[in-house]
Amino acid sequence: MPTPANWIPLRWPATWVDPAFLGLLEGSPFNCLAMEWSAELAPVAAKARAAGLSLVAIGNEAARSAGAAAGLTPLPESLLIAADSVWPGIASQASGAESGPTANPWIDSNGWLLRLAKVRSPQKTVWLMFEPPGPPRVLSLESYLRAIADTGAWGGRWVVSLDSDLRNGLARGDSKALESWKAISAAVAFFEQRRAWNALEPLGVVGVVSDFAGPNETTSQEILNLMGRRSLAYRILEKSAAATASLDGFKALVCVDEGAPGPVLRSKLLGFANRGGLLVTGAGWKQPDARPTGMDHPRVDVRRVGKGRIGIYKASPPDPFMVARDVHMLLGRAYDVARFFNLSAFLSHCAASPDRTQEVVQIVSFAIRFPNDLATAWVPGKYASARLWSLGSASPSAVEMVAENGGASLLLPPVPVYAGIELERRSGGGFQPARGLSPAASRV
Amino acid sequence: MLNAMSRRELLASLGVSGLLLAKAAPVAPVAIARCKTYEPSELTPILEGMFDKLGGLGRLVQGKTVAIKLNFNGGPTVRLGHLPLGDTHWPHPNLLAATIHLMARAGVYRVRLVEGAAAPRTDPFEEHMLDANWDPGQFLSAAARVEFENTNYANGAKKFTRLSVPNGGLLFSAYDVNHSYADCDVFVSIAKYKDHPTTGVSTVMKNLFGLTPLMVYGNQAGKWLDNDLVFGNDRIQILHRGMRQPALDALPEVDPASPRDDGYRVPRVVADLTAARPVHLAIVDGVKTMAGGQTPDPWCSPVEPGVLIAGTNVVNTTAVAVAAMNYDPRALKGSVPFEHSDNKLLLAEQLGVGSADLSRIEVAGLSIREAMFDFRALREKRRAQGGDRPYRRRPRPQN
Repeated sequence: MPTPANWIPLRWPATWVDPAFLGLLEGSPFNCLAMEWSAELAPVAAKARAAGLSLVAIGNEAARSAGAAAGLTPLPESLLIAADSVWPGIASQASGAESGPTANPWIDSNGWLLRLAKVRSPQKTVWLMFEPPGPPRVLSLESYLRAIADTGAWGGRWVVSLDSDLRNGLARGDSKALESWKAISAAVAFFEQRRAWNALEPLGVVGVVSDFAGPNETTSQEILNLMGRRSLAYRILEKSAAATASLDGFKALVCVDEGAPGPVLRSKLLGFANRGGLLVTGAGWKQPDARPTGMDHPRVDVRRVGKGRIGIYKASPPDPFMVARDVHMLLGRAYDVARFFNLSAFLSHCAASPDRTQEVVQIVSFAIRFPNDLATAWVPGKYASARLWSLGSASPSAVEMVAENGGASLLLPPVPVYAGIELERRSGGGFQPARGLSPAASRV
Repeated sequence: MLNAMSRRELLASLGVSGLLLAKAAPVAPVAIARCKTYEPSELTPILEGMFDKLGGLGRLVQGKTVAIKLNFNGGPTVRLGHLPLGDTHWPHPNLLAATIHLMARAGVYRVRLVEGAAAPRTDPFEEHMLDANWDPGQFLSAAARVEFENTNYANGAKKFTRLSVPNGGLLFSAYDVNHSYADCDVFVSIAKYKDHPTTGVSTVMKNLFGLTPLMVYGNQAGKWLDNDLVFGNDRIQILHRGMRQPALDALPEVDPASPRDDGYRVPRVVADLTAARPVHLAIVDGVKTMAGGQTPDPWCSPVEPGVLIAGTNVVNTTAVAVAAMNYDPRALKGSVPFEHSDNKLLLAEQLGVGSADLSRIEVAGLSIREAMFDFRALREKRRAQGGDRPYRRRPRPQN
């Protein structure tokens, strides 16, 4: 029997009381059924157990108790069920798609949530239990694949849950529903076969320092979400550990939590700025000895400290959308870990092995301009090879690389849902900031 | 009265007064050269030779502040296929760097790269270039003083500068623009030549449409008081369709009863601007470009004409470039390439900016015939295949 860390969960539909439905699992990666218990499911549970599947009780307290009484395993401590996960996609209202203040569509994604969960509970396996949106929305196969990619790319597991249309279609033996089921299974298997990618370290020279809780919860979590939305690669530094964490490799730190940090953390952050880094803080930070730069900025008072800069937000709490944008622009795109072209609504995740010889760039796309719009990803540095993994593919395809602006442009096919690109560095081709202006030259 | 002129009236006027004006409009030599690549080793000497044919850069830029208007259509992350923007619809960065380099050698005092970039005010213009994967350091190292300015904002000047159109203007009598367009000694327009859905062709003249700041003439003009968020990156509502008047105390249009049709309005804005902000040097990037549109879409295709065209009169230069696309620079509205718009060259000619009469324009270097790349044939082919884009939006009623 697989351990909880290896459980690959499917939310078993309450209406599938006929054990024959278990036949759908043949050839699929699912080895764990998450059941909201009812007595009608007993025959299914018995056959599933006999087939070696793990059964876990979910639902409200009563359902979980009933499930446990029926022999289902309670959710173990080693699993973290991340709260507030959402069905990934372009956020929509009855009147049409929502957009952010730049007219870019608003994306619902769980990427930042999984990143944060991994930092907070590194030993745990993170499950997301979001449900498909109900009528009147009709879910396409692409929507399912996007939901799987938006979880898998960041190392989580979605407790795959089928909407009524797909459930009913499968119950009828509908061929289109069966095709969708196969594709869903293949996509889940794809990310399970690439669990090693989760051991790679996220790239990013921006550190977000926060307790991500209490009065800071909304702002700090939205900062993560919105930095991801603009492909500003970040790393998370929980405030409780930041005072002793290594700041190697960071070029900017963001700490806009309410109130002043403790003296040890404050000293560490200030030292970072004094040595040449960019420190962006909330309005509560006082730094009377910092020298004015004369920069005309509507939201941030940017000053010099030592060899670096400190930017103090004028408003409290600052608008997370603006924080993501301001930090990116104050630091400069010269430190981008990747740039993307012809991807209109997407998220990316760039990670590397500790020695930086292996890198993976994953793209989850939520919308494209035109059906056959070819995508390009640009990465700084020199690479020996690049391989593209598409969802469900058994083997990768070689990616053509073209030298551009001191890095490599990776020529990709259209990316309607997902692309995973494995990169192998050339020896001596270690990470270098992108060519461009130094932050000091361009900003102050 | 041009601003209320129908096609028939335009034809009639060209019969007499238009031709008289055409004969009076200024002319200056236009240089054409073959250039197959953007390799600096090929590009720089060819460009230098072209400038020499125009009288030399030193005469124009020595000791001067030069503003170079780029032509950044569309977003920085939108490509035609996999091609970098400089190969399709933005002027190539190597051409820009070579131009700055030659200006530095000719003794320029300062070069300011200017464009109404669709980016917030607090995003430095250099960052917009980086977003497109350009290296702004390439330009900084090409001359001693190189500056960047996003002209959608007033920036350090705090307010926009009014440029009046001599003799009153066709659509507006004056345009409020960023100070860089007014306080430069020398103004340069650099752009690809390519098709354009509204005005037929787009190159160094149409580039001037982007002088109009989004804060004043953009779709959301006047709606953000913090002066930092440009929402929507086009000028459809005010300039294309005349749905409302400009913001921030800019002058309203001359005749609010004039057509709300972008085929009428956009060419007049362009003609007005060529008169209000004279161009001293126009450089057409035809080494690589695209056919079928202004910004990448499925109807566009990359092409490699392998030519550069430059001149000191923007209308003359545009006329030669349009002819080198196998289009008639004097074609009237309704005929290729001006199927849906008035001919902006003729409008500018009538404003006295420059002649569109090829018989009066001296061409140095390659002949137009030698430089010809057949955009017209590609346009006809697209249409024959039913794959062409609709070449015009339907005008909306004024609200």
